[in-house]
Amino acid sequence: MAERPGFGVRSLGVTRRLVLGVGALVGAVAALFGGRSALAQAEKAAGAEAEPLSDMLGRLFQKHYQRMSPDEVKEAVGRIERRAKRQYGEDITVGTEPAMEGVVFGYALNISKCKGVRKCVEACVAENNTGRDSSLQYIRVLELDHGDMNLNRADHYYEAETVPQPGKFYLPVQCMQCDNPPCVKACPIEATWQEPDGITVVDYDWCIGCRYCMAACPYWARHFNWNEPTLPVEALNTDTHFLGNRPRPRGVVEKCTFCIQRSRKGRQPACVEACPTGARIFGNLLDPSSDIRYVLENKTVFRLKEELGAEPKFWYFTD
Amino acid sequence: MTRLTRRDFFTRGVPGSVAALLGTGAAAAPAAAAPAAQRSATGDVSARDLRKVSRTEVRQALGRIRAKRRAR
Repeated sequence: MAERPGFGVRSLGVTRRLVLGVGALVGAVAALFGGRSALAQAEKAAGAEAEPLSDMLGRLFQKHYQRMSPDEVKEAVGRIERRAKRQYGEDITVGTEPAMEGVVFGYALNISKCKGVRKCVEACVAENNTGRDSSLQYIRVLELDHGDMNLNRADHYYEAETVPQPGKFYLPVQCMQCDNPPCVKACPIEATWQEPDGITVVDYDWCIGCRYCMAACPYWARHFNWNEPTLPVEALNTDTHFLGNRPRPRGVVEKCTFCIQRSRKGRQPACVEACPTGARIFGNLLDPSSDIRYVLENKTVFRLKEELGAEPKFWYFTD
Repeated sequence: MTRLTRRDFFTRGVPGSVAALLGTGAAAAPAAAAPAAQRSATGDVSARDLRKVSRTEVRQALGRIRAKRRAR
């Protein structure tokens, strides 16, 4: 049979490749715009403007925080600030202050002073832009019977209005900023790491929400963000840090960072300031004249689950 | 004779599993014996969760933190 001009084996191959190529291109464009319109609809439903395509692509191809150049950090910060503006209608500042030289942060908590009023928890939630509709809280205050150190019998759903209860003592537990952090080792994608000042941080854009770190942490200090955090505009803390309290997306693991947005500017964490009994001491472990060093060198000091070898930088003490 | 599950083969190891099959499982379970020794009177390891740390241990811990920063 004679070949019709233009439909030979050779030309058929070219046509097939052309059709496949055009099909793939159309598919990719449709997927991109389809995904974008779905995102835009979700944002509109939440009362926000749609994200520009450039920001969406920038976010999609954003590098790990530690591998970003200063310009890339600036771009990422801009994207977060624009997103917050669209979402809340407020201008937020996303800081990227690095760790200070010669500083390793440590924390000490006076168990004999803690009355369990949970003011630290309230201050922490307000400072760290934690979603208000979830039960996600970085500090867990445990109520225990006097003389009982069994954390399995502790109650953290006690009534904060009727404290202190006779025969009880209170043990707040939060991230211990371990010097040998098991959570960092467990992360399969290095989305969490220890900074030179001893604070363990998370790149919330890099975290895939696998929750391995939660399983590895012996102090229940990591919390999975199941929902898109809902935050009243008037409650938004506009002073944020990239590795700290910036508004986080859904599906990532969050944690206490010793209020990195404050501590790296020489301020005390919110929980320290809020404690009405002055039970919380925070400072530089490398400074021999700091309050925390005084406590560690002169008081009766305890460590939680010390035998696990995580080297917590959070100590408990009594007067 | 002790009733064995698949988990026992992993937790007891081969000698423990063989011993259990032969009816002496309780006596020869090295992996199970170790945590039992750590248990307190209340039968719970976490009874000693909050441990007092001596001055020497605090100094050692601070030394380790300092050394780690120097090594960076």
